[in-house]
Amino acid sequence: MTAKSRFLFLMLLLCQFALAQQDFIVQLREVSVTDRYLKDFSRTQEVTVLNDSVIQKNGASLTSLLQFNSGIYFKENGLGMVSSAAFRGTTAQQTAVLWNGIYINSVFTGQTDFNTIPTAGFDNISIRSGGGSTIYGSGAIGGSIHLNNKIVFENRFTNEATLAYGSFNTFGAFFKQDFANDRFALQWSVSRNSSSNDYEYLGTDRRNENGQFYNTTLNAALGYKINKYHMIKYFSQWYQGQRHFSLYVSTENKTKYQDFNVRNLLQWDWTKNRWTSNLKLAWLNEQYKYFSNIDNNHYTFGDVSTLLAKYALSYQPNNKMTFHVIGEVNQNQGKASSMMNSKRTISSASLLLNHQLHKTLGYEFGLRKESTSSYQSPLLFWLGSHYEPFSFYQIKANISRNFRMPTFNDLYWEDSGNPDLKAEQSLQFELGNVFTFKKWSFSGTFFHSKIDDMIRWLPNSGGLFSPENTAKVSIRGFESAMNWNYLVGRSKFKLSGTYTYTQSEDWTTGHQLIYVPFHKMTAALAYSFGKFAADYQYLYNGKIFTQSDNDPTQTVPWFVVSNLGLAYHSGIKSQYHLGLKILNLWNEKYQTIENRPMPGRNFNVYLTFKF
Amino acid sequence: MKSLQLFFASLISALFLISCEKEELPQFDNTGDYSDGFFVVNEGTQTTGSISYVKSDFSSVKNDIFTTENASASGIGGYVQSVFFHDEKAFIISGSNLVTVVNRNTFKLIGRINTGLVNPRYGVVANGKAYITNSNTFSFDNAATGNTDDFLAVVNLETLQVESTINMNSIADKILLINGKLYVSGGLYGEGNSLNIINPQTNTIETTLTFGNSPNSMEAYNGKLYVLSSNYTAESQLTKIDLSTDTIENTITLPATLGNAQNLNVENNQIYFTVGKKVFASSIASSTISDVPVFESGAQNLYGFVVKNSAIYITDSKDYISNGQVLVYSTSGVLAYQIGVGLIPNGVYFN
Repeated sequence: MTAKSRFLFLMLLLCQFALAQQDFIVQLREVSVTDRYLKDFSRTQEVTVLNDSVIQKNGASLTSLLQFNSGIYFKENGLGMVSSAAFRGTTAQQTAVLWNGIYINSVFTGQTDFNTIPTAGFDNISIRSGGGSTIYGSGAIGGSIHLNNKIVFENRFTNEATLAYGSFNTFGAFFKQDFANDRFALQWSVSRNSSSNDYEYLGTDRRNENGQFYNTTLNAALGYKINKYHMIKYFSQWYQGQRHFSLYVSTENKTKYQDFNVRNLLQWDWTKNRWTSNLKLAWLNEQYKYFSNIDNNHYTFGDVSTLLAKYALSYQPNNKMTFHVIGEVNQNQGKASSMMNSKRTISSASLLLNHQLHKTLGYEFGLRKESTSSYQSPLLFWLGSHYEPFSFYQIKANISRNFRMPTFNDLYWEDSGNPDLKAEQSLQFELGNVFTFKKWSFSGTFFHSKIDDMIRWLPNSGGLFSPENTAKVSIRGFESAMNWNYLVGRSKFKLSGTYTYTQSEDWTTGHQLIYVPFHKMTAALAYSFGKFAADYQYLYNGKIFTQSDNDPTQTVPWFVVSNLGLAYHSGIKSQYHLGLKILNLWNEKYQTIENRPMPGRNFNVYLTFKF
Repeated sequence: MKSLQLFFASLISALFLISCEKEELPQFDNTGDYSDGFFVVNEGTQTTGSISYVKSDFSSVKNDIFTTENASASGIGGYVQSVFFHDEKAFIISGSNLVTVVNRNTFKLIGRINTGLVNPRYGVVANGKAYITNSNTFSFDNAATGNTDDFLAVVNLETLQVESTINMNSIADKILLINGKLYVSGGLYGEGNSLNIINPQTNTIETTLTFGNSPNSMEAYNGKLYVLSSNYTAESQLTKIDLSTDTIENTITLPATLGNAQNLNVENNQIYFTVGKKVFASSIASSTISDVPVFESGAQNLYGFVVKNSAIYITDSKDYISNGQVLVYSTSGVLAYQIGVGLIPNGVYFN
């Protein structure tokens, strides 16, 4: 036996030991996963899980969490204002956001405003890179963001309360209660955030005018095991928020925007032997009011509801193989100031399969077809394979066709909507390498995609702005992540980072898409010593073009922003955490959208009490 | 045969060379003199638009001249809409409820009108005051009052304060001063169908004319006011108004193929207008209008259109997210100049 093979053998043992440990934990507390595809059908792609301790260390909104912890670029109209994602060089509508497995991008705009999603109520937030439309439907082209609540059956009764206060009169409060035994589990939480948000624009004599906001969120997750085979779950979220939109020019009309979102999901799981059946019923409602001039009381509105029924039946002929057959019916119905009452029904059927051929080799495969009279939708497929030649190394490859459906605005906007639109579609390929060692891990993924039939709003022959399937984009890039853990005495170090290179070109002009940086890098170093903890976050964002002709004078310059967090923990049964965050530590002048300055150095203090 | 091919090849390459030359107007450096040429209004972003200047002999172009001449001042506002002149002053109207007053020859800042305007559009000076149309609420923000709350702001030229407002009870958009009276067109985005005639001595509406469609452009010529009306669905109409009586003399309905005709200009007894990228012309004496275009412009998106001294100036807003251009054609459609300007050029104004 050579030294090398002995090393490999040792690694194998270590891994098995780690697995055994996990099993032990699972027996103590049973965790019910709502979105099982994230685990079972994402083996050939990268999934990054941000757990609740990471969530707590970051800002209150999903934008700040992901901006500092992923390769996704966020376009934020100033702190707390409208925020959208560019994931792997794609547009805002090509990132799907799923709440406990349910698609929640706006029916009107097709995108999620990441500043309307407070992170506090979730147990974990996952980032799944690359195509996922076969599993998750529309929008999963660049990737998808998964907001998950866990249901844990174990005897417990815990409470958690946080109060936070910071610069610009920024206030945050959060309360969460967990109550569970071995058959019943309830978790509910409430959060409130508000801010005067009147920060200075560094290097000018201006302030962020008319940028104040508040929001309130209620979350609930409930699980009940009827018997050995049947389980009922219910998830609910209620969000209400108002933002004044900050002014570009002091003399312009002051505006404000109100959001009201309700999400409900009822799920029935049945498991017996090798069969699993899963029925989901969801009702979502999305409302907005936009006041284009707050001096008068006029507003425009939108109000749309979604009804969804989804049934999945899975069968495991053996421990190495799983089949899923899924049927789904989704109906959106709503109206807006510039939209008659409109209704859209989409049915889809899909088939998923994963198969572990050998200890070291497996593949996964899926097909999906939608049927709707509202737009043309392609046949979707998804095929991937993973191979672990060594215990520390894995290689994965994946190819898929994905799509983004036309939005309500695209289809039904008064006079302008185009009923003949096709879905945007992409064909993508990726190749990933993962290295996992005891103290560190590294992953690197090359991706290439072509997106066709991109929907753009342009003046038609009559001069009216109307959406058309016109643009084509070719994207090439590389995305990497690393983690390193080190323990010495009572000191713990954890270093993590991401780097992404994205070349996203318009097919006809060869120009980089606007608001897609070539380079983005994040890094975080966390250090703890007994009851003290400190962490440092770093973000580098490369130059961005703001015009489609890539005029070199019309750019958002590159920037570097760093945050510092300090915390003190105390208590065993009842725990206190006292923390201080210094955001934009080096007082950098930066913006992620042209003429939308972000704040300079600012502070936030929080106290968390767990009992 | 061979020689013919050669001839065409040389002709094409000559054309190519010429057009290449024309694309590259040099940037001129002697600042402070904008008296001999035309300004291009670039709507820009919500934060800032810009003004370009082109010399009348097309020997040079200079972009963003306000920033050049007033480096330390704050900008002219976003979504710049239009420019009007009075004596030595130029008034730059921006969608940020801001009018920037500059010297029209040096472009140095004189002052600003920064209160009392709500979505200002166009302006003119009459009777020693500036009259500026304001859209106020748009109908897409409030269908009930959006098209009836538009007003004229009357501005004191010394203090640059809005002294009074005149409620128009309709849309208020383009404004002309003709024979001491104000003619305000009441159409925007295919809505509204009226024209208000206002006496600036009394600041009251004297006459309101109505059309069969929504007025989008107008020009006075030889004692008549020509008004082009259109929307996105119905046939466009050309209306002739007798300026001595302020009554409608006649109306020509354009062929259905010329839907949403825009940008009326009258010069040398010819009426010019556009539909999409196409340019049309007709004699003012003609009682019908042909749907055969004079030419189709090379603009990606024809946005502004002005006929002046037998030349046609077209501003091309392209895809609205890249720098636009001004295309200068002869009245028969031969491209003479192609000039790169700022973001979303919407019109040219001759100094």
